[in-house]
Amino acid sequence: MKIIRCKDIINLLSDFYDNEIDNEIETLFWEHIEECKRCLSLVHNFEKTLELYHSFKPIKLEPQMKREFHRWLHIEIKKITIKKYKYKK
Amino acid sequence: MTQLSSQLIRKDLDEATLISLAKNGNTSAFEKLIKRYEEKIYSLAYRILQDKEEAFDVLQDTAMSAFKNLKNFQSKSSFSTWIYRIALNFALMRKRKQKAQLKKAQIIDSEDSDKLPQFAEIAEQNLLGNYVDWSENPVISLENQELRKVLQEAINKLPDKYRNVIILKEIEGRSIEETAKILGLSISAVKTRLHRARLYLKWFLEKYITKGQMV
Repeated sequence: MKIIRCKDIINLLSDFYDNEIDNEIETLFWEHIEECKRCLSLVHNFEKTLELYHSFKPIKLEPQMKREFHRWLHIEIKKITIKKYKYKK
Repeated sequence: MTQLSSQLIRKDLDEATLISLAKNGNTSAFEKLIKRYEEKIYSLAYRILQDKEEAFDVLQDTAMSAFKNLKNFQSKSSFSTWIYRIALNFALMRKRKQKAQLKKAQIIDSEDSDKLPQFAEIAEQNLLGNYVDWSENPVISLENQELRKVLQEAINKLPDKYRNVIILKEIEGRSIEETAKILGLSISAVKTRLHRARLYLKWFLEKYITKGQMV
């Protein structure tokens, strides 16, 4: 019969969190953390850490920067296209 | 202006059509295509560089490079992966320059003096002494400005190979498969790095929480 130790819990944290753990191991994982307070805390803290990172706000391009970028892009690719066209001629 | 580029581009055109039009010289289609990714490119660059202007420069570099090299884009991979890869390379190049300049000015102090422990040591620490569950502590929230800074600092301090995976997968929300393609790594390598990076981040956070006696 397989036994899961505290060290294994550390190695399995990501697979457990990402739901990529197979059923048999998952049962053993649960059995272990129900018995082991330390590992239960470890799982909680691990999940909390990821929750914090996942809730980072998206970085947005400021409207003025966006307008500047669109203007720049339009001009620059036109320049390249014209150069190419002249070269072909 | 070519005949194609004078065509009106409908807003709802699918990506494959836009790519095909852009490859045939339709500049308007290329602009539309880039506009679909501009926020993501900027965000990725900002996460790596922590500087608005540098991130904006990466956006410009990426757009230019994509325009010049679009003919080399093979539809076998997704456009999203392709453009992310370009953006990441430009961002990492700038990051290296930033680091070199800081080193020159001898501003880097904490990064060198505060070397990261080996991964095994971090894993080991979870098995030693009293281990406190701080997950339910109301102070541990992103509303807490100081904590947010600590989290950002923790990401910045991660070695590149871990930081890139965390930014792409955890913060920018790319899948494991796409992260692997963007970084040119195998899926199992991404999973290993992701797991280690997550444990590093938990370690950083715990260090701050226990030092600051928040729990």
